[in-house]
Amino acid sequence: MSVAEILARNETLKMTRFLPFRVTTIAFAGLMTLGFGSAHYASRRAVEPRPFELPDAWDQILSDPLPMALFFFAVLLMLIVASEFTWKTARQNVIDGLSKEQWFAGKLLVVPMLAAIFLGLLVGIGGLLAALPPNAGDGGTLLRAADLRLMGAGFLCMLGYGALAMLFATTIRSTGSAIGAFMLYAFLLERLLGSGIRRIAGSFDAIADFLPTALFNRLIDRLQWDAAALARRMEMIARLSAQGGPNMQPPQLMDNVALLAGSVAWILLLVALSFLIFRRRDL
Amino acid sequence: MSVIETYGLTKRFRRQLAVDSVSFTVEPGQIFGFLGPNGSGKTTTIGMLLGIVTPTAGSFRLLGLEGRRGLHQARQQVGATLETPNFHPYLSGRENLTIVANIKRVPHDRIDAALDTVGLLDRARDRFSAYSLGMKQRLALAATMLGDPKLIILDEPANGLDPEGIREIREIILRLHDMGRTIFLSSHLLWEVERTCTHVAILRKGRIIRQASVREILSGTVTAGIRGGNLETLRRLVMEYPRTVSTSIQEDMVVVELRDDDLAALNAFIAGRGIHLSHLALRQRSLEEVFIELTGAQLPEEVAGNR
Repeated sequence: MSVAEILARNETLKMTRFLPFRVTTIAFAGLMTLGFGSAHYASRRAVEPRPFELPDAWDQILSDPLPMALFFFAVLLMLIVASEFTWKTARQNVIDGLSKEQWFAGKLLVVPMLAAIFLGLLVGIGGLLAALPPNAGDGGTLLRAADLRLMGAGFLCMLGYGALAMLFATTIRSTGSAIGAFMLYAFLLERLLGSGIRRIAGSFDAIADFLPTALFNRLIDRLQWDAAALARRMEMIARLSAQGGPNMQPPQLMDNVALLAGSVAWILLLVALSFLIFRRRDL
Repeated sequence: MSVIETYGLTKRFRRQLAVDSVSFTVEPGQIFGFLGPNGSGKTTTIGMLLGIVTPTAGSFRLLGLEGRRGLHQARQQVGATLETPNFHPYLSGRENLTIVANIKRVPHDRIDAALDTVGLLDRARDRFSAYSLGMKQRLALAATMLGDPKLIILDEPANGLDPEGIREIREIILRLHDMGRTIFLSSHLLWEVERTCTHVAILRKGRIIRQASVREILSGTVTAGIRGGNLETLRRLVMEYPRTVSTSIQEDMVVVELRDDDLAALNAFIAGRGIHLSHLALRQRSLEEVFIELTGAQLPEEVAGNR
């Protein structure tokens, strides 16, 4: 058995038997079924102006529930990682023969596994309900390139939040405190930091856009990846403006290459930082 | 080839020197007791051997191997537990051992054999969190056995157990020793160490103050208990005996520390001065007495309570 196989087997066993994993995934799946199920039902009864059918339903599937998936994913990841320090099983795994590097790699494996599960539930449940008759569409394309790009970006966004969650979990090593610190940073501190930078950095205020969660959040903005949606938005703004409606600003988008490169760089940096802190400290 | 060799192993936590230049050797086939009062640096030293605490200075060899790669390779042949048994509370005993077996690359069919050895086969499907402390300690022992290790390191394996649990753990340790394993054992249950270990090192404030075989440590001097007539008169008389090291009155007898075990000569000396003894017997010094003498430690309540 290769080391990768050992780590994958052990992490799968630990994760799938972990009660918070079962509760969280079932709760998330339940919420998605309820949400998309009601959209499907409303669409059947012609209550909704837009039918919940593929491929247009992807706009809905990949918008509002994605932040919820991110939240569930990050919290669960911190529970999985930090509890290994509380139970001293990280220490025991190293005593049993894993190197510290191997232990960390095992935990790193959990990040894409968990991200794939949550994104899979979102896409699977949403896609399935949108594909159910009579909303099965006109038999044309079910998945547009822009939807695929958004799914990929959503996965990268999850990896980003996962890297940040890993940093908090491996540094703080206590589930409650790690989750609290993560929330404080993601929902408050980084926003304060961003507005502080915008106030003092003058022409360099774009730096604020490159803070980790600001960048990761931008990844799941459909307009970044869907030229047709962007064109529709611009057209709507122009129409509203012509009709003397509220003055709407055009969306501030980032160059996609810069966005992807920046996100990947943050992920690598956060993972490297977590690893260095983890390796330096005694277990 | 020694199983463990340490050279000036040192660990400093900020201002506190936890382990101070510790050097010792454990040879194959020994049951090596690592003793010391609480906070003397036992667990930190073991932590360094197991790679979870980084030494500030010094070096060591495990199974003749050293260096980062060598020690990682050596640790594959070591079974160990540190402090409390550390397992996932929501997994069953068997699932926890599956994780260990995967890490040690041991076939899964050995899991049940290990569980059987420690008497946990019928509780293998129960969650670890539902186990009693004794069962947790036994599961930890089963985990240490899994990889057929050459060296087993146990940190306080009988901690918190009742006398029956302590006896079970002792029997398992002796069985493992009979199977040819070298055992390195830290404990503050001194009478258990005396019954189980072949060699000991005594640690005090992070330094080793004595390392020898148990027999050697206990045979440094001979103690005799004597009774006859007035105890104070008897004690003063024995003080005049040329081979006496020290005397004291304990309960209803005079305890004499002697330079040799020639009790006939002592008896003749006392009888020659007109006192006839009603009791004369050799008293074996216990490891506990040596330990207290060397460390100046008070016995933990748990130890006293278990005696």
